[in-house]
Amino acid sequence: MNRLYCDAADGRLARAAAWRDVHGPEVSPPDETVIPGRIVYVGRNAKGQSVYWTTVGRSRRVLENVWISVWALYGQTLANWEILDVDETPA
Amino acid sequence: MWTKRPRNVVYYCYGSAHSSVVAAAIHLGVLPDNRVPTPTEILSLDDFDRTSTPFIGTLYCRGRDELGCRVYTLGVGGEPALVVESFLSMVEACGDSRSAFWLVDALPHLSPIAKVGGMLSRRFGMVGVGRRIAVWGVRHRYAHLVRFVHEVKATLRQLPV
Repeated sequence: MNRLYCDAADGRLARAAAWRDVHGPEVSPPDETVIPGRIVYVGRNAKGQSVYWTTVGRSRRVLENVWISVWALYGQTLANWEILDVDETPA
Repeated sequence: MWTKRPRNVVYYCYGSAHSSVVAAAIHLGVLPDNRVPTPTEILSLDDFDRTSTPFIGTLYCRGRDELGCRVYTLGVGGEPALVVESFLSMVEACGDSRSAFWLVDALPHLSPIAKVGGMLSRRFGMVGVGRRIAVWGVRHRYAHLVRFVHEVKATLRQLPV
């Protein structure tokens, strides 16, 4: 199972949420260059999920189709991925 | 750029309805590369001027070429760089290498006339007139599309398996 935090803005919210999920609230994410669309692996959370974050810009719906298409090539489905839009996720 | 031949070639454009569909058809020999196809030949392509907005981002497999590469088309919408990066990142997240895929931008090889026709048909619902203009535009600059696909295939041929 994988978890992907999505951010329509500059990625700061998604990155912070992913880091909080994996490392807890005490650890701040390091500064890093954000490459639009890149899916960044953070680590495993307490549930054993692989946690990623990404930016989706104005292409959230397009990307969902892209991801579903790619998953299908590797025998995965939406059941293998939990997609969380950070602006809809309670802090 | 490549050290070995990618297993998959993805022609992408805005909506996976015109330039990517025609380029993939040329690549696979469905459309000729030694003459301009007839309007009927272009319109007989499964997805030519047919993909609608909700399906932008869906990957369509068109077949396998003589080198063994799978050929796909993809619509990427208005943020191509972001969508391409996300596609390749997700390939990596699924445990494969980015180099398994070569994503090629087909849109710059379409004539502006065909783009206008495509927009009239797909975005504004003027299918009758838009589709005719898109076909005319594809035929008008067909040699350019053929050269583009030949360059892609020549690059693939040069790479070791």
